Amino acid sequence: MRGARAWRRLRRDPLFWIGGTLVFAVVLMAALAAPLSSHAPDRRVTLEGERAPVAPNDRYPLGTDENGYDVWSRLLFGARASLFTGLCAVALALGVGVPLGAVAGWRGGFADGLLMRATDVMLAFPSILLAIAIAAAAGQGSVWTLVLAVGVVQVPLFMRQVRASVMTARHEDWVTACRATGLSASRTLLRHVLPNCLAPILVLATLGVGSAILSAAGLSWLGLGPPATEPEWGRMLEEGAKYMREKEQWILVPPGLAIAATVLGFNLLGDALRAALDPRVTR
Amino acid sequence: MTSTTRRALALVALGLAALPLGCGKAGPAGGASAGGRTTFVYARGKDSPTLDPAEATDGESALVLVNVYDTLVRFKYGAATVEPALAVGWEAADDRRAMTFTLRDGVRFHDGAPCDAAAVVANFERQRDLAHPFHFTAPGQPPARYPYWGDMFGSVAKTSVVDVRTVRFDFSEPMPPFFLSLLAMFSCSIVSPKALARGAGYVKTHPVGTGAFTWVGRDNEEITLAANPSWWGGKPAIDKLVFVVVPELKNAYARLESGQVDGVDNLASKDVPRAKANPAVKVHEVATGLSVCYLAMNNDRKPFDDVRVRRAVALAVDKPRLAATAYEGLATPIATLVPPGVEGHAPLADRVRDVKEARRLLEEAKAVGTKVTLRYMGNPRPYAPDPGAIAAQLRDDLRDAGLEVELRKDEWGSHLKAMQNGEHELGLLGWTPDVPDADNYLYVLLDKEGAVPPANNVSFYRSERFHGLVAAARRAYDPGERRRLYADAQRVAFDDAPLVPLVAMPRTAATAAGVEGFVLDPVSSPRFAWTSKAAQAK
Amino acid sequence: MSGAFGYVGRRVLVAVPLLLVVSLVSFALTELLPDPSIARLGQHATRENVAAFRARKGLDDPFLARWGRFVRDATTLEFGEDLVRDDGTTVGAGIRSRFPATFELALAAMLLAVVLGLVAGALGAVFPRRLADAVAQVFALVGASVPVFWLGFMASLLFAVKLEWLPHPDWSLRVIAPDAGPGGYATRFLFLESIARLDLGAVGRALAHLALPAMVLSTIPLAVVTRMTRATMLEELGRDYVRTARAKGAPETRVVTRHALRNALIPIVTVTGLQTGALLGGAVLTETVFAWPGLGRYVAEAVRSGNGPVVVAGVFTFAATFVVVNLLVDIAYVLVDPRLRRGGAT
Repeated sequence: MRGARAWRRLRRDPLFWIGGTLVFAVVLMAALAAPLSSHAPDRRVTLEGERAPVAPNDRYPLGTDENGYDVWSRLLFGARASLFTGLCAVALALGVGVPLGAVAGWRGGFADGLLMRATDVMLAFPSILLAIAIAAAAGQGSVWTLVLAVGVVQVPLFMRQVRASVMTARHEDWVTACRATGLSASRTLLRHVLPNCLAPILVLATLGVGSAILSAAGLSWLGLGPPATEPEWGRMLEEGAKYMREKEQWILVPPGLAIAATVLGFNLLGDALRAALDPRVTR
Repeated sequence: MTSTTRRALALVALGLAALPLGCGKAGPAGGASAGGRTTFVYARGKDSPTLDPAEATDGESALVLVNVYDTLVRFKYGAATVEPALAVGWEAADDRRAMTFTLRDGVRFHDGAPCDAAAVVANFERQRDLAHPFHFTAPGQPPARYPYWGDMFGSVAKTSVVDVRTVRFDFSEPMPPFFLSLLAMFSCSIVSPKALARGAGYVKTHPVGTGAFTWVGRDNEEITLAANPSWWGGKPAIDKLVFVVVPELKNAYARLESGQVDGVDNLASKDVPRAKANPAVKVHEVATGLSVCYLAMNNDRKPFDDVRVRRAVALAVDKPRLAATAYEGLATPIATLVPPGVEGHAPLADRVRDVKEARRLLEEAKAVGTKVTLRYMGNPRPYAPDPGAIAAQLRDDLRDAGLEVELRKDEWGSHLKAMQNGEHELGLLGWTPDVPDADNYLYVLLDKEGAVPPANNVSFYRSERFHGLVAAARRAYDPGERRRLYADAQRVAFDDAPLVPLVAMPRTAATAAGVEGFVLDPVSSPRFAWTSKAAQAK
Repeated sequence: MSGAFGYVGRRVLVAVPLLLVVSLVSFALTELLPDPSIARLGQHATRENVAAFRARKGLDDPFLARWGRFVRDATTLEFGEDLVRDDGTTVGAGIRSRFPATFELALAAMLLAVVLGLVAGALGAVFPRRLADAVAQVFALVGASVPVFWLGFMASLLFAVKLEWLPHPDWSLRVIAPDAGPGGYATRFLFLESIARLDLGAVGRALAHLALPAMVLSTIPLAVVTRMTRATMLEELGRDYVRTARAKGAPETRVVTRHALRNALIPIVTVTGLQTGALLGGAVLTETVFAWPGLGRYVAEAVRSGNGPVVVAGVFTFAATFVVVNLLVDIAYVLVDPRLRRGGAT
């Protein structure tokens, strides 16, 4: 079975294990944010008389930022925000891109032409500017603004991939066989063709989560994301930027490392998946 | 290897060899290279949108204007008092409905035209008279009043030439007591009539004045001025003045430390301590400054229509902590909108933070636990270098007293618009005055006449008593009486607490250590006519 | 022959309506942007000023009227007036004066990425599954995972502040070519023109100022180029002709460079074209971090201040660049691959 073979290849790939560990660590951080954190992430937790920012000590494992918010707690809850943004953005892109791509690939003709031109337009549009425009237009930044901006930008990628897979599958013998036995077109598409296209979509989705998190961090850093009080890594970086050359490095370094590690994890995972699922790629 | 490869390698080697020529510690900005001429590079955060003084309303345009143009009177360098400039003497009529100015002799514009009474009158008449040939109007549009003229000079009925060196102002009502300060504003810069005759497009892009520097040109966002050798105040020590745009404060400061620019227009609060500790950099500060930041409460909306709730908010805000954290200790907490040092400031004793009392007031008003939204801007402002931090702290302060605050951030343009239209409950805003006078704070920000959208009175405070006091002060000429009236007005505002004045923000700037004669003006944009730069070793 | 040129010709024809749609979409998007009158007039503007400003700029006209005006302005390539720069500067002039800076930055970044990627990928292919391979791959991937602005901070902190090897990027004629004489340079392509003029001092300075942002920006396409090189080269190195060459006694370096690498260039060229989009996007963030006077920063600021015409024209320029680069890549592909030239099936 193809799946089993892929799994065996995956297991032997060290990059899979490294990426998987990183992603697992982040998921753990997000899931256990509440019990692991010592304070609330979005309110002032410094004591009367303590002058923020406070250096790391017993009370604050990673110190506090200038508003008196605990960095460690914000890091943990920020993991939640980042994962949420990444997953939702990809879900949005899948939800819109897969059906459209399937329609384009399956029906061909006019619908295909139209959708492909639309994809071309979206791909020619500089994604970051589109994201900035959506975020600026939305006014009040929130996590949903980021999800929308970052998700919309990925739609054409999924559309193209699904279309290509569906198109190649359409001409395969087994599909003709399905149709010959009287299976309806939509059923064939949904229950047989699409599941076989899963592999490349999975790869794109994994890489997409990493890319979404990175873009969201960029938008947050530009000030277009959630307000200062909400824990979000990009925002924390923007605050920390003030301390670039000061000794308060504990504000600037953790969120940057966190983003890098998370995105790296998803990238490695995606790469490993691609290698395992695509027999032609040699390792 | 093949010949192509050899050629490619040769090119790469050449490039790498040239690299050291550009590397290493960056040399002095502009440098003293070209034959002993000094160039001064000043970094600011944004570009100048327009260079027509009548039209300009922002500080970045003003920066160029104050160096290229002169006004009739000007603020003393580094002070808020007025001294002669293009006018050497003046006299007011007894009924205060006329004023004559005697002009300085022998002054010429950069294009050679003489700066005489006719030139001065043309400048004022073009702003006053909508039908004046030099009152520039966009094609197809009805003429509109110039921004500052409409607000400040409404009582000027006519400007006329008495003789070649004398100009006369006639007023429709007794002139405002601070009229001389108004004349020192950059919007009253005297532009060469020859340049004006060349049309709107020319004046907006080629300032021709009588000032210390002449216009050289623009390279994208970079503006270059050259010293005016025949300036009536003496030739400036700097030969070339260049204004560059560096959007982030931290970036600008980094360039100052590495010697790539000679001066920086503003310092991030975090950079001030390190700048002060750096011997290669000189920090300039104006002690309390004129910019104020305040927390506006929309008096038209529940629960802020209740004075008890407003007083509770005023009691809950921890101003000293705010000044210490969000402003790095640079700002001064204020009890009234008029900062100390400004004419008309009343030294009121501020409320001390009392969370218990605040809570009690809220309970009395049955407002404990109310959810309100605090709007703030996403871009730094002169009075709020880090709006996010300020908003966060205010939220925490108010939560201690029992108000649930939700934050809402918008781009500056949208934020201002929303507040001017009264869409807010709580809003963070501030004010930089045009004139260093209590009127420019109290009348603009709190008088009921300013409470019509798009309002400057974003608290929508409509007190008849307050209005009576401020209106009387506008007409009073005795400084003692004015001060008394303003003090009463400020006490009324303090009790009613329509907004919470937070801090007064000092202006900061920094220059390289070798720069002499740079003084930060509390009122005006930086002027470089008396600045010099020591020649630097390469 | 006709097959190939017909293919390219068709692509050109498709590009025109594509760009029109892009500009229409971005024009519609500017409807959502904040009011530019605040950015231009400041906080002290009165209602009268704002109304006069909006009337002067025609901001309250119906959508179609404004769209028509835009199309008319676009044909002159001036794209109307910059709303925030209120001195009659046209958007077209603003774009023309900033595009070269972005172009040179992107070019430098792409060259850097290609050179480094080729080396890393080749190393990985020649020594697969060894330490060098792993290091190269991880290095490339890490570069693509780190947020560009954080990398920018760290890089400028390290190279410009601590080590003082490089200056803070200050891309202007005054800094790069102060001795350019009256009239300065003919174009705004400071780097390319300094090479053309053989002004070594200027070339050196240009490289020094370009180094930091180009390094940071190159991390974006680097991973893809590395991976692509490695994959294609591995494929090539397994082919018969390589084995033949080796059997004939050709030195290994020759086999690698003259044969495998040469053939691997085709897909790399394709990838380069496709990466332009990502590169232009990355340029926006990089330019913001380094205060680079390019198109990306110009448009990003325009979005924040509601400067509609700049946004539309800027997006149009980016999209057009992307389309043109891809077109050039297609043409290069057709010229290089003999199979395509004969009009055979792709």
